[in-house]
Amino acid sequence: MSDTMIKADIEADIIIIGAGLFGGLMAYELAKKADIHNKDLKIAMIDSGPVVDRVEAVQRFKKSPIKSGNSPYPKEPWAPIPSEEDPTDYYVQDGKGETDPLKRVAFGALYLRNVGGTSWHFTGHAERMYPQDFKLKTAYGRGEDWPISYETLEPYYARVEQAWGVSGNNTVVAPNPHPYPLPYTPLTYLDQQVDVAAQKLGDSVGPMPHCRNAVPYDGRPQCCGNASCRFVCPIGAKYDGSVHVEKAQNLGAKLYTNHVVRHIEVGADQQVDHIRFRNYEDPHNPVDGIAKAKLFILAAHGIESPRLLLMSKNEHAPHGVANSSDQVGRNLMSMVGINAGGYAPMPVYPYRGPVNATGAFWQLRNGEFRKDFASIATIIINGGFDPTNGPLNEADRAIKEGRFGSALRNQVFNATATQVYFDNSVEVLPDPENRMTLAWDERDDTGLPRPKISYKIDEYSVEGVYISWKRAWDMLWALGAKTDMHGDPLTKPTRKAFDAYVAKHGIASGAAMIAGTTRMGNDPKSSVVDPYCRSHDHNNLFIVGTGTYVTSGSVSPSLTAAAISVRSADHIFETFQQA
Amino acid sequence: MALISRSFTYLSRRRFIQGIAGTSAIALTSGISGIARASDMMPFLKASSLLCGIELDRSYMQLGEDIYRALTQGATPQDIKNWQRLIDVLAKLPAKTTEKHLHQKLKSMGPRYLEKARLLARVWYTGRIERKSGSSAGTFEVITYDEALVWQACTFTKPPVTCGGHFGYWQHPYSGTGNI
Repeated sequence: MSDTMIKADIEADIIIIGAGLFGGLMAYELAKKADIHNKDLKIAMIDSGPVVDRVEAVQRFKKSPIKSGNSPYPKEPWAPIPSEEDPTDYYVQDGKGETDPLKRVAFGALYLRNVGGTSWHFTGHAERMYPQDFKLKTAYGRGEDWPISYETLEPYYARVEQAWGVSGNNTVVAPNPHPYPLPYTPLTYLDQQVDVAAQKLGDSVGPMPHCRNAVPYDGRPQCCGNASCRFVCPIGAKYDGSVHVEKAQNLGAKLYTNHVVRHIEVGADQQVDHIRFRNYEDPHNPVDGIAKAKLFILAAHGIESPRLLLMSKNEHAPHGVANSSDQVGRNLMSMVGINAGGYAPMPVYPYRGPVNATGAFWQLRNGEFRKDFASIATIIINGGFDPTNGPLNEADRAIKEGRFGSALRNQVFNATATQVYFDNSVEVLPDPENRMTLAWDERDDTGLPRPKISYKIDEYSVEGVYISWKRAWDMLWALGAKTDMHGDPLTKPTRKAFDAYVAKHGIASGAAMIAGTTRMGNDPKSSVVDPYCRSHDHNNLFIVGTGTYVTSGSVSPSLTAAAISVRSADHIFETFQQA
Repeated sequence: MALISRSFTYLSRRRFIQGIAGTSAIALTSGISGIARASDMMPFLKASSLLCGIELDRSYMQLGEDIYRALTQGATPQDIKNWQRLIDVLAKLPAKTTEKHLHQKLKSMGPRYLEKARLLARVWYTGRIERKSGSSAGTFEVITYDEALVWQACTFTKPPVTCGGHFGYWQHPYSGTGNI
């Protein structure tokens, strides 16, 4: 199929597929180095979605009755994504109704396809992984070790923290104290009240590191607590991937939007020759084209990257691109958990400041317990039971209960002001049977196969879910809560109650992480990319993002993948220099 | 800083609404079932104030019209009469009518009026209405988000995607006066 005689519609030295958090940052890093070294390096970014207009995104958010994470963003039929309300409208997953988490977990991880990518609605938590996360097998006898260490990544972590403008001090997720470029983001009043309760239980609440501006930084304004950052930051105080896409453009990189890459063409020499795309800039008249480059970077996140690799079978890559190991799409990891909420006996004033969270529990993130159960990240949600519609739901409930007049007003105030909600995210270990494949019999609107998901967890994670669930309920008791978030009397968090809950509802996967599907390793037989994210199979293909993770840990994933991407960009530039 | 920012937002809206109410309110209200003039909105606002426990002055004229229009969209003539009766009765009640007396009054009018009263309060508080019939049945229409009365009730916060105030304001307890 390789056809070097075809005239390319797009031609560059380096083509990056996906202008999101990692693709944009790499484009910038490469363009900056080329500029510094006075090298002519043509870089093109190709994204399946459009540029996001922030003002339009805010208006779209306000008009949406649901106001979920995807609500502010355009939904283009040529770039489908899972919805928060029903992720199976895109994901294909068998076994609906199965609640046994050892057999099936409903996969609900979300992402966006646009310029800036999923970072438009990420939490803005910029956490480093723990050193032990990179050597889980050695440290705790669980999972596997990475081919790189924390020490390897440390300078790249620091660079990304500078690039994003990370604020923090002695944060709960810092593996060791280190300086942050921006002053710390204070805990909310709610965090402080939960901390009082936590200390009764031998735990405590500490601050998170954020990539939302604590002071004006890099041309972006200071955060003013819009209480919507999990959905859209109206002022751009929260960092998102579009920042470095624009910076890369300013240094000469080209951006092609609404171009859906449908195939990666590998030649007989096992080099990627070109990619084929469909251009939807005029949605009524899509045009097919090809793009050629010396080197390709695939940065389309944990589902779309392996989807494209698996779709791109040809005679030279019969199992799909970069897939001689049969590991593409496997080892899918997304944190799981059961959240808990209740009403405090006194106002704690949620719905103020940055949502999702400013505070988290110190305990159960890392330590010897990981020999027995999975790492746990529990954060205190500043947005109550529902960051956007929570107060509206309290009004609904009060009116249903017969409240009118000042009694209605008072009940809405009191019920909203006393909401406490804990979000539990529990680590999931790599399992080759947890995977994304292609549903050839279930196509999207453009005729491409939808991603099919197989997902379950093991006893190690189930135990972590139980411990985190119990701690959350113990915290509600310690706070003096009398009722849960449904208004029912608070019950004791026994194992029996947990098992009954799981038997009825199952355990949900969270929205925050999609990892492992293009895993990193030294051995080409058991991994997809090497420690610099270069495909073992194709010398001129790099695959970046959280898909490269060997294990997931429980911290927010983006900072680590960004650090790995910057390291990869350095390596790519050095390779170009040598060439 | 938070109070200044908040006040500015509300003053802007009020100025705008007062401006249009004074010049072309009749034009704005034309086509709304059962309401012909801007002054006809005052009983509606008074009835709504009573149910919601929040005073709705003339600055809420436009929003009141939007809400009334949404409530009566596709309504039968009889249904519109029922709305008018509910508004007339509630608007004549004293402003300090207790919740208990309000319930008694609505009960005496019949269950459909209690349901209408609840719907009216719900739409004011949430700024959204659930469509019960037609092609959009079962979906919610957002009439307003920023002006939904929950944000008036929850004075310790403000509508998301609205600037809350100076960096770090959230570390302090709510002072108890004004929004944030």
